[in-house]
Amino acid sequence: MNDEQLNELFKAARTAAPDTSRVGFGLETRLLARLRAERAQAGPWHAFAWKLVPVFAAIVVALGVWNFAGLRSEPSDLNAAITADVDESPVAGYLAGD
Amino acid sequence: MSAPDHEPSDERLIQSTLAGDDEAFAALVRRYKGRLLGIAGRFARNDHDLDDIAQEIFLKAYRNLAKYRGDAPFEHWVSRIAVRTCYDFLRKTRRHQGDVPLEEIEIAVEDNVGARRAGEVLQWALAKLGPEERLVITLMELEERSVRETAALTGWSEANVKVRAYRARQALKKVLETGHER
Repeated sequence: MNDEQLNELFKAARTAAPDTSRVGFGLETRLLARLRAERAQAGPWHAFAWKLVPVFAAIVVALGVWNFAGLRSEPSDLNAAITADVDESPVAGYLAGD
Repeated sequence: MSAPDHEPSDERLIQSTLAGDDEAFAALVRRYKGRLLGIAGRFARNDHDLDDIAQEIFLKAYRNLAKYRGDAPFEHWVSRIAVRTCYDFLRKTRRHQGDVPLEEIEIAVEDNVGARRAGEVLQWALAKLGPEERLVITLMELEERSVRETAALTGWSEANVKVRAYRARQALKKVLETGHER
């Protein structure tokens, strides 16, 4: 087969454009139905996040209560309580350049 | 293709779609489905394939619409999606169809060949080629796209398009000469 024959074949095939009318009919309707079905199935992530708001609120309240109760049981001088058993000499030496 | 004066522009329909108006997207689909089905129809084996490809093209366009910057016409942007989707389809569904008797090929390339028969023979022969070869032949020889257009649609360089087109023609000739798989 030479190039001329091949070009003739292409030329003949070009005139036989594929019939797409059946698929084209109602394509937009099928697409929108599919998009809506996907949305209904998955749902947007922020809609799901809103459902978790009560859970997060409960966690925040629980942390607040726990923190408040913990503070009440601590000594009044919090700084002193934290640093009471800490040896500060290495830090002091480091800062002095020793 | 652009919008007639009495119809909303592509840009307006895109903005409305992004704002959640599904009917605006349906209008975009109506505007471009003929052109895109014409491209996809060259690759699909039947209506079922064509419907799958067409839906995939427009769903990809819908999901990526926010990335469309408007620096090229919407038709070009969505055509690139169409070509990429067709290419992916070819890679996924490459199958070997039954051999066509050599006499039928010879008849098809003789001067009395009918367009329909020529199309069938060519489709059979193209199915024997690789996805890239088939893509470049379809775009350049059947869709009559230029090298530059083919490069823009496929993302290949123009030099690459020329090389692939040459090799694809040689491969196609070989398939048509032998009537069998390469």
